[in-house]
Amino acid sequence: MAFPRNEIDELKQSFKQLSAVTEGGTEFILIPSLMLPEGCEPQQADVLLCPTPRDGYVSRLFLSAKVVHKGPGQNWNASGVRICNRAWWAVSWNAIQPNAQPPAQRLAAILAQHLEAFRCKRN
Amino acid sequence: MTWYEIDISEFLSIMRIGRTTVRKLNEGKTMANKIEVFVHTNGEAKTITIEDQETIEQLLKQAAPDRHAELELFVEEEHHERNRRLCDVGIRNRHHVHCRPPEHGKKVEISINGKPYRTHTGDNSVEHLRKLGGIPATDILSQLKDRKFVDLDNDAHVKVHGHEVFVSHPPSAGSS
Repeated sequence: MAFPRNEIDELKQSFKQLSAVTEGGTEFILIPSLMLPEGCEPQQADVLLCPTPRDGYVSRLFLSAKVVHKGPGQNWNASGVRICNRAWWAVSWNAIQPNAQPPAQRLAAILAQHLEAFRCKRN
Repeated sequence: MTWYEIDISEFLSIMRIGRTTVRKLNEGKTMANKIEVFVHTNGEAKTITIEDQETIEQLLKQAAPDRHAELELFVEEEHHERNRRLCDVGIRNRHHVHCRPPEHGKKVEISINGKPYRTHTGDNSVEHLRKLGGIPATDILSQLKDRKFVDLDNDAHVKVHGHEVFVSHPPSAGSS
């Protein structure tokens, strides 16, 4: 499955080194040095976005490090999983309700939704 | 005190004239209301208290005494002439308006959810960007900038130069 050209172009305006990687028939988007929401340590990480269903989630976001943060996504249920010969970490996070009919989301919107897991909520 | 004797018909006549005079004095003039206007200039907001019968010129003078002559006023992105009264262009109490030099009004292209839109350079309210891109009030609007998603508050402003990328999404369902 090729990702829509205009959605890739939208991401490329901010992430110049974007690349698509495939493993076991699943396509991922590799985004190097994504700036994480404020309060995350480290402040940036490489991320692997899987915009298609995986591990019982509608989409997943893997990070190159187990980030320390104060956001709501504290359940790290993927630790050091090997994808494309590299270790990745992910929190349990539903970008949309699992039983809801998924709306057609743009890649940038899916990525932004996953990053909410690491964002401190303002009161 | 001196008392004058007048008959009742004369008294009624004086009252009628009095009423007519008052009516004539009030013609074309409604009661002025003091209002508070939030004036946004160059990323800063200033609260100005002014009568709604005053002109845009007067509002600009109060908001930017040193550089009012070089500024133009926009209400919900619509430009209004300086000689118009605030009440006539829909500026009400606690209204937000924007001042900027004419050259800042140049239109440039931005992207909202992958679609191109044209807007003016300089300060753009998030409210305006939401309207432009048809973003539901419940969705989160972010600017994708320097490898980072920056969530935008509804009452914030974004400095637009051209080619900015904005992305919206409904709130996540959360952790499972």
